[in-house]
Amino acid sequence: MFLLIITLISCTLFQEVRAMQQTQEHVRFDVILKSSASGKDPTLDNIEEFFPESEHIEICRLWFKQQGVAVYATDFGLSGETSQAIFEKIFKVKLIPSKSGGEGNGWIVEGTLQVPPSIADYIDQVTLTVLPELF
Amino acid sequence: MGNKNGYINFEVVVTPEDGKKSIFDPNAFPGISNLDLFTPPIDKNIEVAQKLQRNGIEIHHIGEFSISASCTKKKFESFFNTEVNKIQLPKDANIPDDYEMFAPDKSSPWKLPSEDSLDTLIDRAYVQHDPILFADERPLPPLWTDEFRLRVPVDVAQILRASSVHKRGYTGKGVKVVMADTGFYHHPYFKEQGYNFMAITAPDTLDHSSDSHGHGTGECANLFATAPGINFVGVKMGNPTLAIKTATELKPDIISNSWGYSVDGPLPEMPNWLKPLYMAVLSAVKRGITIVFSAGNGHYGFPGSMPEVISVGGVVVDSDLEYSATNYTSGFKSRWFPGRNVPDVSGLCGVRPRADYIVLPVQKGAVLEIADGWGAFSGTSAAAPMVAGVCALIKEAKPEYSSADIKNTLKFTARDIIKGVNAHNQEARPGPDLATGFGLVDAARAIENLI
Repeated sequence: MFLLIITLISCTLFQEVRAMQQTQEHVRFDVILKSSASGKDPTLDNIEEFFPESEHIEICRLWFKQQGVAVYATDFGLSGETSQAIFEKIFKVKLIPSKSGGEGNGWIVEGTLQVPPSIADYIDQVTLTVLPELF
Repeated sequence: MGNKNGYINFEVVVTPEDGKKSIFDPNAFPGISNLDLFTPPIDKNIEVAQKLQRNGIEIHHIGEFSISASCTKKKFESFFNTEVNKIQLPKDANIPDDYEMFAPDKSSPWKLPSEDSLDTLIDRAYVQHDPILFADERPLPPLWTDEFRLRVPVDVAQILRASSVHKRGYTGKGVKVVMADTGFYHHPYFKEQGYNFMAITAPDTLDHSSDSHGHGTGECANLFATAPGINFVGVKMGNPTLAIKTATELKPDIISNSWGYSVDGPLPEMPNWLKPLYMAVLSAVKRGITIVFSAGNGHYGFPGSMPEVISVGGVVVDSDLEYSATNYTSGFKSRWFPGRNVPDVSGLCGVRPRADYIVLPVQKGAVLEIADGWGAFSGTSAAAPMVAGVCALIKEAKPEYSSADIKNTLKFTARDIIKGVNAHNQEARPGPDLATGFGLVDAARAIENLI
């Protein structure tokens, strides 16, 4: 039930790509934790309902840290960065560097991302971070 | 700097008195403890300076150890009975291409002048070469004349009518503005202007003061152009969600962002990977922070398309002060947020193909550098911080104003643009449109409207 599909980034979305650089071996990702509003669409009126329990953030932060992942708390979960190998091991997928994302900005994900059981109860979604374009 | 155009700067050292030593003596070892031994009486320096002046030499300074003087190359050659030539400089010495040295070479004759017994009073005279400036960047924008370009801060401030607001005392004082971008190099320009400039790193980046791209360093100059008195904090960004979170924690009044994703339209709905960023922006707005985003340069820019942010497009002003929409910038109806038209208002922006319209400071060697620590780049990346600066002026005048109040003030005081088309072929016409939104922000009208 915690299987998540990572959105693939198509180069056709990018005109005149000037994306910020991300090395291929270095993977950034974002985690949104479950909250009382999970399943709803976030709006300005209900955004505070998406704040997860701070205790849950801390549990997940420590878990990722133990796996050798650098993670930072956000209002809604965590942002992390790690090596391609560790990411693949944790989430049981294969990452293939995609040049089509622009300047090393994309990955093609082979397989379906699986959240480890130890933290699965707390996690709403995990997504790879795509760096923006400079306008 | 005078050893050019036939003019020679030189130093004159007088002969030592009895019991004193010449600084040119091969056995002289001047140091702090024995400087007196090499110091001539000041009266003698004055006497020699007067005699030099009487003989047509220009005196610039009479120092403790030497006299600083200058004359034309022709005068120098006749006065010292010598010949001045251009010195060949070693090619591997990293000397600027335009640097030249002129002096008598070793084979040239040399004779001290006998007029007024100067040959008995002068120990040595030597050409004082211009120093090579080691500063990597010029502190002021260069005047490149190959194309019509704007310079910060003056041109930007005047065209957006912020200069007159500054004169009335509104400069953004007490307003904290944060910008998330590629880094914030402490360019000499910022010091020269006396800006309140500070930078930090987001947790997933290193070294905020290094900006090898140049984007953040350059674009924040646009912010200072319209709001020179702000308290500025740059956040060097990696993961954009984390950058917005870092910026929010600084409790600013305004966050300016010159980046985004071209997705609101090409993708039918917001993908999951953008939800963390979307929520971070909503959270910042909920905390009362005014968020400004570039609309994009022909992109379908998100988060610039969020209704909760101020979305900034572009207007170009040519050398005849004609205002028009520019073919470089975005304007579209959001597919994700029904009823949302992008942009809200516009700042200044260049035209295709490169939009190299505004001369901006960058770190030496940065990707965007053209020369001397300066580049020329101005998509909606440039326009957004200009508008963020005007938001700061409004916030200073009306601290109680919400983000929505500020947006409305910008919209209803903007200069309507009725000419030109943007990158999405949207035509500018009277009233709000998709070419420039409500038009070019007008700081003077915005402030007049409030006070």
